[in-house]
Amino acid sequence: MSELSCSQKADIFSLLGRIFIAELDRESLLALQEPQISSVFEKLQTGCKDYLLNTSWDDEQIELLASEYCHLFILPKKSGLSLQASHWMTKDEASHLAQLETIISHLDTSVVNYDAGNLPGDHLGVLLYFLSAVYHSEDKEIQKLGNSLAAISLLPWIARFNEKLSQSSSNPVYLASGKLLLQILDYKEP
Amino acid sequence: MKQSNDNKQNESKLSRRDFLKLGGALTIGVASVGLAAPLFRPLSGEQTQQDLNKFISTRKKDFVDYTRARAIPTICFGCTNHCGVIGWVQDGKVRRIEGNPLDPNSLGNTCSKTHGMISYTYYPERLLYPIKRVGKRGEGKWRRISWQEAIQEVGDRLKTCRESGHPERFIFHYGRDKTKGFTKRFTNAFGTPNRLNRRAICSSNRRVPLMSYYGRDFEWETQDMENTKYILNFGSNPMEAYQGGLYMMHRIQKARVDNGAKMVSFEVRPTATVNCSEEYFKVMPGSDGAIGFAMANVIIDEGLVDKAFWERWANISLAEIKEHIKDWTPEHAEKLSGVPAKDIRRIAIEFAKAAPHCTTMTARGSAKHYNGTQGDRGLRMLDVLVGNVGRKGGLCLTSGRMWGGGKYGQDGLPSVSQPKPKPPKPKAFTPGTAAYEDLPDDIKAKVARLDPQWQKKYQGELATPAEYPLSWHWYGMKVGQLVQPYIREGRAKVDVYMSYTYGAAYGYPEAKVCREVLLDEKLVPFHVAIDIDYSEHAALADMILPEATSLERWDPHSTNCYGLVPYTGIRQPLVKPLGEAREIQVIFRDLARHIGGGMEQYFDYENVEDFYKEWYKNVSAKIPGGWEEFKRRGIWQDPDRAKDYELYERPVPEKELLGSTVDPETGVISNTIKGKKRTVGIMMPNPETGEMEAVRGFPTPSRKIQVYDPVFPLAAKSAGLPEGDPNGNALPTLFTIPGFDELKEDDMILTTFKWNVHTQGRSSQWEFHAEIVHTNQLFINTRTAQKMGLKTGDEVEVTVQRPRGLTYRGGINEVVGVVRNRVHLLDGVHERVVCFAHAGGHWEHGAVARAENRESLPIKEPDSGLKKDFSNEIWWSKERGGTGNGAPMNDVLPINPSPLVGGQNWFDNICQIRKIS
Ligand code: SF4
Repeated sequence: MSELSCSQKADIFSLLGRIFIAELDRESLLALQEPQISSVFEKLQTGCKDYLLNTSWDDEQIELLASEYCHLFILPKKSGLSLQASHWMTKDEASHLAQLETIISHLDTSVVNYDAGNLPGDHLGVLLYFLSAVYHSEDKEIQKLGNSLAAISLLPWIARFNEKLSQSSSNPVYLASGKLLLQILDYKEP
Repeated sequence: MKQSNDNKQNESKLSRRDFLKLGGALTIGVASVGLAAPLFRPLSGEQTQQDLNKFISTRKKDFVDYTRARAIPTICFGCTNHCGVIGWVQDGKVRRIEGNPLDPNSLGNTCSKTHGMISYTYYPERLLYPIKRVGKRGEGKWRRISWQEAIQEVGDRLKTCRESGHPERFIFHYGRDKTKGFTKRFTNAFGTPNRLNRRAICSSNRRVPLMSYYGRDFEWETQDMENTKYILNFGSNPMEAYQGGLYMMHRIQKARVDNGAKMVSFEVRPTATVNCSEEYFKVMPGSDGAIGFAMANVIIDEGLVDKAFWERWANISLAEIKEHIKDWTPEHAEKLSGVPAKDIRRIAIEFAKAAPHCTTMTARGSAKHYNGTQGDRGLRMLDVLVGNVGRKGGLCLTSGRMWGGGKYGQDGLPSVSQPKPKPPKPKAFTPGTAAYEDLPDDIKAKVARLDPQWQKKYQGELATPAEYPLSWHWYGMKVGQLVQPYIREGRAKVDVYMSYTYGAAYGYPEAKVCREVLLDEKLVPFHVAIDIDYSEHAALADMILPEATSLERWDPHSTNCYGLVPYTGIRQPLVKPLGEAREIQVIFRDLARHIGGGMEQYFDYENVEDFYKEWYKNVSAKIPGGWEEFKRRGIWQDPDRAKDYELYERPVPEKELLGSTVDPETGVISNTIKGKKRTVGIMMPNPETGEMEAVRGFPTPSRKIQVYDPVFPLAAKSAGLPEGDPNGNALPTLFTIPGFDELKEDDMILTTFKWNVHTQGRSSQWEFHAEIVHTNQLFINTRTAQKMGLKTGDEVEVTVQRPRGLTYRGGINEVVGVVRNRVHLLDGVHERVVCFAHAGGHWEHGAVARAENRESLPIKEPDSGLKKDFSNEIWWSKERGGTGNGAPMNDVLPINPSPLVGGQNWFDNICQIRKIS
């Protein structure tokens, strides 16, 4: 069996980046409904496939989803689920991470299918997209840095984030995504 | 249980095959449109590789690299002082702020609060997107929306309101707006007079005596602190929290150390200013005026009046004043205030002998009482009696604070004014207009009772409340604490309510009234909040629009200069707004264009900088290097301009005398300027030659200092105050606060104050400042507490009574509210006073403000190998065994506007304290 290529890893980070950077819209739901994706999500979270395929994604449901994203991540009053790493990290860790934000701030952004705005550099979605860009690099030396970068920017806090996510949300897509995030960070070729 | 969890975990564990399947599906692009679109281009290049390697290997803390960081001047918005500062920006982030040495007020000093701007710009719970409510109002259910959707919906509603012929039903209610009239441009263009502020909450009662004495341009005095020898401080606290405080504090200390100046403070609690004073007297709240009148008596009796000054500039004879105040002696003041008569005498003599190098200093402490306006008029008299006004070391009055808007003392200054075209002012509600006809009959009757000068200016109960004509006589100070009660009473109708960085639902007296009204969709059909933050007020909106912070936007800046040479500055963006936050100038531009109907012509700019460049074109023209150099310096001041001493003696410029007329009786010179008849000066004898000459005088109707002001009885009659009510006296008058003369043994007076590291209720989420001060315990005199059997940390119940007198629900025998708090014993507090800082007990503004345990922090996982980090923890949360964030005290303070003026009487609250066992 072949190895999980860097570009495949990059795409998984990109997928997760999309899920966390903004609420899901019709287009992203449509893509998640693809059999190969939904079956993996089902494995991560029982009921996810059914949720994706059998929910009538009418305006009301889309609004509910948007409201849930807002409740979980934009106004995280009850959930405490800030998407910013600095909310979860110690001051020293956050201070170190700020240097990575500096590097990120110098990177070119390309057009995406939603308005990302000028997001803080320690936003989970931005960090995931950044890792995707690292793994997508044609420069093998840069690709090799992916694991170390993920370890510094995500590992110190993502387990706690995921634990809180599992307590705060019952949405199968977010639950599956949290697990996927943990597992991709943990992924090692046999 | 653990076993089953592990099993569950295993069930969801992806195999290598799953990852390949997922990766494959994404790579072949089945989902690329919807999901896998990249945000960044793939990384490449040696430099990137080096940077990343360095980042991974060094594990260093971030630091400001001054070889790379850019220093950009701007204006601080940490508090109301607005000091010139310099922000160090590195890689698109503001890292550090320090003082701008070119600022003639701050002289390069700052306080710790300036770093609050970094806190509120980057704190993880900052609101970054427009959001719209999806649940019931106040339920806390929202969804993110695009700006396009936001502008469409708000714009449509505003357009409908405007086209309905009732533009006044658009209410714009702001907290701290330092756009210097930019938001007014929007409301004027829209046609609504209802641009409502918080002046009454803040300082109307202390502004009115100043404007009455010296004219509209001098709503704020500017003591020449660095040259003074004697300061009489009545309840102001520049060392901690005061408009102009930072500018004054180092000048006061310089005067004390270098000139041997003396400061005497009359206060209810030991403030930092008290601690810098040579003498401190505890006074009964609301008795400052009594001390002032007593001192005036002493100064007259001792023959210490500067007669030449009084006779030249006061608009009433000394004999009349002497007769009027004769009963308000030091002994009488001792009874009311508790300050010994012998000390009042001694200090009055010391003060007068130091003239003109002496000054009074009054602020909210003396003024925010039922008798505060009249009491402050008494205190103002001391400066006139000793003739220190406008003189070196005295109580100075400097050129108009708003260049372009002011009319006094600005000769020779470049005009700074908003770009043209400027929208016309909204029309008055005169009979026959739709707005007037919409008024309830009882309000029409109140309007009919107003003096004609006010009837002509009347614009509805929110902007120009008929019972408070002095809240809008000089300019629109409004009565902010009555806005929600008035809406509830049906005195004004609302279509769209827009709040702008406004916190009444938390920070106003009886804030619960505000919340009730905002929750009522019949009274307020649509509420859009513009804020940088999810505040208690914004939480009751239908839509919240995230605004750029002060580090991300433009604003003009002007304020009175304590160095007495006018200057101006510019707030400029240091960084791009975070997330999707937008500058108010962009939000209003887009709304105006959407509403159309002519509004758009006033917002005809694409780039906000161009708008301000035009605004400051005359200043730029004075600077070699123009606009770019102005931005580089951040501040402009004419280095050759003389200090603003004795502006009133300056000659009226020739061009203003051309075509003027002189009133033969009063000597007042009038001319027609921009189509309006205005007074421009007064004929006065030259002190040396005796020849009559045209001098500026003061910008009052008489061009003199109006110790006697007929506007008070006129206002009293217009507002329907009972005949003889002392609030309506034309001469400064002493009276006691209703109810204070009948205090029972266990009645206490509840007063409030501001912490030096906080800015009202808007700083509670600044985590470094919250770490220093996060609660608002109740300070009480040690002996008083001991009599009650209280010790520091004990919990008490505070019951606040409805005030007496001619105020909101005045005299109704009821309890306004009951609140629990902990006491802190402090010797220097007045025996009958309990006081607390009003910034406490938040239930919004994020985890830091709420002092909520951050479960996200690693302390929960001691075995995780992550370092315990107390500096990042809300260690004062109750869950961590701390005190929490204090008590929401504002809810129990009564709405209590002063008669005629409307300023909130914050310090008149009669209460009872009960220990909770
Ligand atoms: S005094 Fe106010 S304006 Fe000046 S630095 Fe401090 S917070 Fe900023």
